[in-house]
Order: sequence, then C-alpha cells, then structure tokens
Amino acid sequence: VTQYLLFVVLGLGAGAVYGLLGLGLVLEYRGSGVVNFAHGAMAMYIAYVFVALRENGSLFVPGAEIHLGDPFSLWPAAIIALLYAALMGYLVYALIFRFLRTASSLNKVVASVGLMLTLQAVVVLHFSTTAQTTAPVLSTMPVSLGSDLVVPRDRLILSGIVIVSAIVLWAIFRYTRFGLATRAAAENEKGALLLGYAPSRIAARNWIIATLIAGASGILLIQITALSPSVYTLLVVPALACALVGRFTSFGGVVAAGFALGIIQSELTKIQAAETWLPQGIQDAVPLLMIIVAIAIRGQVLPSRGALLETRLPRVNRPEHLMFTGLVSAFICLVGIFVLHGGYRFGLIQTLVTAFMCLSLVLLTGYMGQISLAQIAFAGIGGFAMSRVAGNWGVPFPLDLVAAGLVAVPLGVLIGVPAQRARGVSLAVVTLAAGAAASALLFNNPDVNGGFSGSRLPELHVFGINLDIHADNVHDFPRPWYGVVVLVCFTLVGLSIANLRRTATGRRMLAVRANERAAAAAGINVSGTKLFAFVVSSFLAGFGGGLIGYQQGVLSQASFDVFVSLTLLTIAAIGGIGRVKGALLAGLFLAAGGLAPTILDRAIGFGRFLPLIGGVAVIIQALVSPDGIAGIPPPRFFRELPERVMSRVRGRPPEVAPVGARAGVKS
Amino acid sequence: MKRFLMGKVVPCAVAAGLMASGLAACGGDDSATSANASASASSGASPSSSSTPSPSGDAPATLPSGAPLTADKAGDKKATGKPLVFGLVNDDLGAAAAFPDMTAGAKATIAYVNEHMNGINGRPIELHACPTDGTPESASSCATKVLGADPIAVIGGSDLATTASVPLITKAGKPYVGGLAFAGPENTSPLSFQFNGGDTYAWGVMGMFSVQALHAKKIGIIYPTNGVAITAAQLAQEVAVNLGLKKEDVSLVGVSPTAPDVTPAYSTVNAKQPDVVIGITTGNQCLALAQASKSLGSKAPLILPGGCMSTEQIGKAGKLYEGVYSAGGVAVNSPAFKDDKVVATYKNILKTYSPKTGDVGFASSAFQSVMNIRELLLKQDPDKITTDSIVQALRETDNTPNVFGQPYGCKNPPLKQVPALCNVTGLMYVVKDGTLQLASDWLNPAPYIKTVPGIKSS
Repeated sequence: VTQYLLFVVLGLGAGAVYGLLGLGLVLEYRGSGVVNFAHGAMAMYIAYVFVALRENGSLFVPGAEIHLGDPFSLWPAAIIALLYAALMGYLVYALIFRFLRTASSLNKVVASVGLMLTLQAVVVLHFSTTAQTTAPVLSTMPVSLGSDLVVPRDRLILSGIVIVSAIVLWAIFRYTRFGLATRAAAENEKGALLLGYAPSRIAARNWIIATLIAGASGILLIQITALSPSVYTLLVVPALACALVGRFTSFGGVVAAGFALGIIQSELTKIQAAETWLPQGIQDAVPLLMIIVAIAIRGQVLPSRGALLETRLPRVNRPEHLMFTGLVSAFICLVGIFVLHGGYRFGLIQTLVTAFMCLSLVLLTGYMGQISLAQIAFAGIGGFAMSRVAGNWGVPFPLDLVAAGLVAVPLGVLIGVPAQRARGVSLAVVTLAAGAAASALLFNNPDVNGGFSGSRLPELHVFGINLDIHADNVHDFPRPWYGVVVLVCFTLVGLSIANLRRTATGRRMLAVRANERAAAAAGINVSGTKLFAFVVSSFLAGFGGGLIGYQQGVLSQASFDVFVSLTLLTIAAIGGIGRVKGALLAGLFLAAGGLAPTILDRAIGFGRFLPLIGGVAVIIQALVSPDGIAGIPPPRFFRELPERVMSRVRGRPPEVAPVGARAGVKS
Repeated sequence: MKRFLMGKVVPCAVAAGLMASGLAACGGDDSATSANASASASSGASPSSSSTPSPSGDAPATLPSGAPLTADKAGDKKATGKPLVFGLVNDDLGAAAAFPDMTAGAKATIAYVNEHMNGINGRPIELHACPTDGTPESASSCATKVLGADPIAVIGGSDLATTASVPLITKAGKPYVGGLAFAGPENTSPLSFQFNGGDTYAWGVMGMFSVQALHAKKIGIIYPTNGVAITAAQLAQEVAVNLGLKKEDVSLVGVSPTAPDVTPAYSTVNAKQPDVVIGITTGNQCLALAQASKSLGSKAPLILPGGCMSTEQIGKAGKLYEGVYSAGGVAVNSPAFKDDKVVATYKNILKTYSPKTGDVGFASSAFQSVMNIRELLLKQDPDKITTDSIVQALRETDNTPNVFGQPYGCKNPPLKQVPALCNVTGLMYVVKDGTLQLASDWLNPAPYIKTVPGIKSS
C-alpha cells in the first residue's frame, strides 16, 4: 500500500503541470473561444525568457538577447518574465485572435498552430535544442511522509500552488464583475455587449491572465524537467485532454483531471515494471482514454458559445470543368516530372505525395467539417502494414497500397465513433490524443518500426517494369516513373473527390457540415454520413502512407510523428481545405521538401529560417485568407480559360460568368 | 514551407535528443594508445583482452586522445589544388533535437585543414552541407541536393532521419563516412563507415562498467519509450547478462519521452534496490534524473550519457553531479586530456573558426570524421582519389589509427551484425570536485554483445 501511495504522491508533479496548463487553456477558451494549441509553446517561451534573465542577465526577444547587467536573482527574474508574459498574452490576442473572433474553429486551430511553430522556431534559432536550466524555484529536498514514504518536497508545493490557483480563479469567475462578465460573454456575447461589456476587452484580459499562468507553469516546470523547445510544447496534449474533461469550463474539473492523469501515469509506470505484458508507451494513451470516457459520460464536451457573429466555414466549391482542369493539371505535372531532375523532381514527387495526403483532409474536414489530427497516424499504420504486406508476403502493387488503406480503416472507424458526439475542436483534441497514443504504442515499437534498420519496402515493380524511385546511378535519382505512379493516384483520387462534391453523397456531407440537426430533420443519416467520411478518409491516408513508404524506401517513426499531423492539417487549410486544388497548392508551396521550398531554398538559401517563415506565414494566411490560397480568385484570364477552351471544343460561345460568381459556393 | 512546420517536435525527436546526448560528450569515441584497449577494439578481441574498468582510483589519470595528426610536409600551407568535393547531411534545424555543432565543427575543421594543413596533399576539401530539420522529407531532399554536387563521399552527420537519407546516398554508391550514428541504417549499410560506436554503444560500455567495475548484481535502467532508446536499454542489458547477471536482475523501466517528471520511473527502479542506475535520456532529463536520485534518497551510483557532461551542465548541477558516472569518447573538458596536443589543436580550431560552437559535443565528432578521412586519403595519390578509392581504403582498414579514438577496423568490424561500426570502444568518467575524471581505460563491450537489439538477422 505504501508503494502505491508513493506513486500517487509522485504523480502529483506531472499532474500539477497538466492542471496548471489546463487552467490557462480554459481561460483562453472562456475568454475568446480559442482552443490554443500554442499554450505549451507559450509556456516554453516565457521559461526561456526567465532562464536568460537568471543565467545571462539578459532579456530574450525574438532574434536577440538584450543585456541588462548581472544575472537576476529569483524574484526580479520571475516578475520580469511574468510581466513579459502578460504583454505577450495581450499582443497575441490583439494581433491574432481578436481578428479571428468570427473565424471557423478550423481557422483558429490553424492560427494557434502557426503561433506554436513560430515560437518554437524563434527559440530554436536562438538557443538551438540544447537543454537549458537554472536553479530550481522551490525546495527539492526529500520529505518523509511516513516510514517508507520519501518524496520530493517540491511536488507537494507545486500541487498546493495549482489547487490554490484553481480556487482563486473559481472565486474570480464566481464573484467578481470581470469573472461574471467573462461568463456572460461566453454564454451570450450580444447580451454582454448590451450590458456594456466589450467582449474583445474581456477576451484580452483573459488572454493576459492565461499567458501569465502559462508563464508561471513554464517557470515552475523547470523545477522538474530541463527546458527544451519540444517537451514543453508537447505538454499541450495532456493539458488539452484535462481541459476537455473539464469541459473547458470547470477549473476544479481541469485540475482534478490533471492530478488523475498524473497519478494514473505514475501508477502505470510502477505496474508496468511488474506486468511486462503491458505495452510500452501505454502512459501516453491515458489522455485518449480519459477523453473517450468523458465523451461517453457527458456527450458533447465543449460548451457552445453564444457568439455575436456567425462563424463562417471554409468555402467548398462546386467544381466546374472537372475533366479539363484535372487533365491539364496532370499534364503539367507529367511534363514537370520528366523535365525536372534531381532535387527538383524529388520536390515535385514530394509535392504530389503530400497533396495526396491532403486529399484525405479535403474529404473529411473540407466537405464534412470534421477536424482530424490523426491523419498521419492512419498513414503510419498503412505504411508500416504495407512494408509487411509487400515485403514479407509479396503482395504486388497496387494491391499492397489498397491493403495499406484497408488496414487504416479500423482506426478510422474507431475515431469515427466518438466523432458522433465530439465535433469541431473537440474532435481535433480527440484525434490529436489518438495520434499521440498511436505514435507511442505502435510507431515507437521496434517490432513495428523495424528497429535499427527501419521498416524496409521492396522495390516497386509491376509486371516486370521497374517503377521504383531509386536508381543505381545517382544522376538518375529520383526515377520519374515513381512520380508517374503518384501522379496517377493523385489524379484519379482527386477527380473522384472533386466529383463527389457534385453527387448526392457530397451534398449530404455538406448538409451535415452546415447543420447536423437540420440535416437529420431532412432525413439524412448523420451518423452514417460521418462514418462514411472517416472510413474513406482513413483509407486514403493509409494509402498515402504506402506512397510515403515507396518514396522513402525505409519507414521509421519519424515519418509519422503526431505533430506531423498538425502540420498536415495546417498546410491543407492554408492551401484550401475545401478544394482538391487546395491540396495540390498545399503540396506545392507548403510541403516539406516540396517543389516551391526546394526552388526557394536553392535560389536564396534561406533554409535556416524556413521554420520561422512558415510559422509566420501560417498566421498571416489564417488572418488574411481563411479559405486558403485556393480561395484567392485567380486572374480573370485564367478564371475564364477553361470555359473558353471547352466552348471551342463544344463549338458554342463561352458562357463566362460575372466576376465573383465563380469564386465559390458558400456552404 | 512545411518543413518549417515540421515541428516534428516530438516524441521521436526526443529519442534523437537522447542519443544526441549520448554522443555529445563523447564527441569522438576512442583513442589509440593503450595496448590493452587497442587489442580489444578489433573484432576478434576476447573478453580477457579488454581493459579492466576501474571505478576511478586506479583508473588512468590521463590518456592520449588518439592518433596524432599528420602534418603536411610543406608545413603550414594553404591548399590550392583542385577541390575534393564532400557532402554533409546534418540535422541543424530540428525543433525536437538539432545538432548544428556537427556542421559547425565540420566547417571549422575543413577550413583549418585547407588553410593550414595543405588540404589533402594539396587539394582543398570543398564541403556541400545541407541542413535538415530532422524529418525524413527534409533528409531525402538534402541527400538529393548533396548528391547533386557529385561528392566523392558524404561525411556523416547527426540525424534522426537517416532512414531517408543514408539509403539514397549509399544507393548512389557514395560512402557515408563518420559522424555520429544513432540507430538508423548508418549502423548497418555496407557503404557506411563509422569511426566510433555512435551513441548507442555507449550503453554497452555502461553495462560493462556497471558489472565489472562497480560490481553490480542488480542494475536499473530508465529509458524513454521510443524505438531508439529501447534498443539502447536492451544493449546495456545484453552486455550485463553476458557478463553473468540474470536478465531479471537488469530491470528496464520505460518513461514517456514527453513525461514532465521522471521521478516515478526512478522510484520504480529504486524499488528493485539496484546497485547501479543507468539513465538513458535526452539532454533534457540529465539534471532531472540526478535530482530524482537525490530527492528519493537513492544510494545507487547513477550513470548518465556523455551528453549530460558539458562544462556548463556540470557547473549548474553542482553537488547533484558529484559521483555521477558517464560514458563517452574523448571528453575534451576532462583534465585527462588537458595536455593532449590533438585536443589542443581541436580547441584552437573551434576558437578560430567557430568561436560560438561548444567544444564538448558534436563538433568533436565532426573533427574526428574530417581528420580521419584526411589521414586515410593522405596515403593516396591526390590526383587519383575517387569514390571507389575511398571505399576501398575504408574497407581495408584494420587496427588503423583513429583521431580521437581507439584504432578502428572496417575490414573486421567488432560486431558483424552492425558492420558499419568500425570501433565500439568507450571511456567511463566520474564527476569529482566538479570536474570530469577518467574512471576507466578504454572499454570494449563487443565481446559481450551476442545479439544486437534491433537487428533481426542476428
């Protein structure tokens, strides 16, 4: 019993961190309706500010450290860092999220991911990833709680701080005018406005407090783990799970969930040492289990907000001149595959593979409105399965790719079930947790990822014809034929998805996306439609995982990291998530190693700043063009070109619509 | 642009980080000098021929860092001939783990070689370096870019995504030489040649030292639950078991790479009353593990990776690190190498050409790679150096002097299942009075590795 009690107490440390970060997430959501995926990164950034003050006596600002004198002692450094956090919170709201009040959930997610990437890039550029640390804030001496129960003192103090913080926040929101106004604005923005409360001002204050708490979390976290850009940023996954369990409303619920999560993970560590059959990484699956249980018990987990203005979903165009556009695009790509060489050809193939992955999001998020951050998990399952199917069992192309897609479908169904209750950002959090669990349980397992050698794929041959990307001669790499394979896959699936928009199934999806109740009233099977979207989307993602496998030749965990899913959703949204064209543009301009970044990198050599430029670009794009690059109307000539060409083919005069009429159909 | 995004921030990268740490202080790995050790470095070494590890005290106070550098006959002279093109693919930009010191070290060493050592018999080295962000996509892209320059060889980097880059490089017939191997195909590819055991084999050295020097009957190993670290933990277990411990006496306790607190894992290990605790960790958890050991009142000695032992970290840890052991190669911040001429040259190179780069860590691995390649090619007619001649020379190395390390031999690699590792020896250190003291002579764990974790064919 003493041992189990020991691990309960030891779990308090991690639990306190989850709870404290979760409190900040609740404030941000209550104040502005934003689920902030950058919250962990903000805590990380402020922690770096604190360490720079303590160790170097300098103030860290993006790109530089301003030397202020001798290293600061604890309290001055903490106060300056927290003031910095308050200012940062205000600026983040005033410059980014204030303008996204009426944006879709997806756009807010994209902007927060952009912020996360930007903060990470700023820190990595200045500090690299070398762990930083400074003297602990709290006493680390052991304290005895009984004969055999010796625990670090700071875990107990940390727990106390978190509990007191939750009580204070509860009291503020229960008894103060500010708290009541925040609650009022969250429930009925128009009503709050009529009572004289400016929702944007209330939101700004909540962001300031939330970032203060994030900063305090970051500073206190140095107590138990060294500071690094990745670990802190990733803490947003369990913190989001806790906030979701607390319905982004209850401070007590969030803190209780945090402690529960920390304690369960701690106990699992102990149990796992005895019960070796338990899979490695099971601790990382606990947030997902907590969310599923919460959804099962409570149903919809995010409270709806009475926003003053209607949020607008990304546009989904009804495609016209589908065959013309598709075939012309495919022809241009085909020419590119054979004309380009070396890295540029590789960039084009990478563009097409990423675009194929984005197609799975066009269907699921664009048409269906389901925000999924598990696409890369689907791809990973498909990719690793295919290496077995093709490598060990000798299943030939393209049946192996079909098998890769089919293997991913059960996970798609598994996630599609909670999606019956969770939607929008809630679903994003569920799928993020699912992706993290898949990564920990499957992709990190040497039996799956192949250990030292990675998970190898055989060369791609069809009826004796070599379609593999690899070549014996360096000057022939990458071989164009693999590019043709990917292009054919992308074109066929892209045309199918674009055509789906014109079918009854596509209309049902859009109806469910727009209003589930209205769709149900109209006789649409909402559950079936959602499940269909998840099945097809997971199949496509699994298939895409197979394409990634053939492209790389050897698969490893790194290809299917959970945050790659965040990246994929972000680039798909920036490209234009409601359109097949958007998927191609995402692959072209935004894919890692895609054609445009390859050209720019070789022309200007700005690779070092690519992460920073990318993060900032995502934020700007989310603010400026919520429909993505594909939503920006092309010049009139190009807009009318298909109609003119087709009219020549038909022998009828062109039916050119007025400007703007083809920009898109709001759904 | 997505590359930027690749915040691949995460778990896997963390793994990388771990490994990174392992190497970090290792820098190079091995060194030549001690007769015992050099014997054990070659493949056929029997356990009895390995140096005997000593828990400090009777360990050597100083050691030569490895082979001396060959000066050019013409003295201090700038190379002006036709350049020899080399490539370098390295993770400089990863958000989860980045090793820019590797690139900086390579560039600095090459600048010195070209300006003061007459290059390679008069031919300067031209480096085409491409920074990755640790993702397979950027690794593939970089490999393609570097190969486009038609290098005669690619200098190994530190990259967690070598599964994407090394096959491209080797498929193109180019050798991947040196660097710091993590757990990718750089360990197994027939065209990969490593001068040290990389990060992973430091764990074998730890297992060996725990049993032979610290006389551990029970060992606890804490590792992050990702593929790379699991392999490392199993390797330390493999060595300990082959040295006479029962498998159940070497307990492995996994901890999530993203867990904010390692104390529960440490407590789990403590409950088994180990004689030694080995902490496999990213550089992030070095102090946390030492802190957990202290907070829980653990009496068992703690062994951390070399990457935990930079001068800065030792200084910040203060008393927390007193008595903590670490494994690695040539730790240039150790007093054991304070009078070593090659170490002095290395430090001077960094001071001159890359003053912001830390001397403890990946830069030393790059120095080792460049200098070893130069030493090898000095024996060839400079006008007849080709990819094939380099590969041929590397394949024929046997007990060849190693800069910053024990002699290496790719002809008969120490571990046949991991043929790219031409040397797997390492040193143990202990922190005493705030400095990193030698705790052993060179140790060769190869004789105690019968099955290499993660290699199915073994």
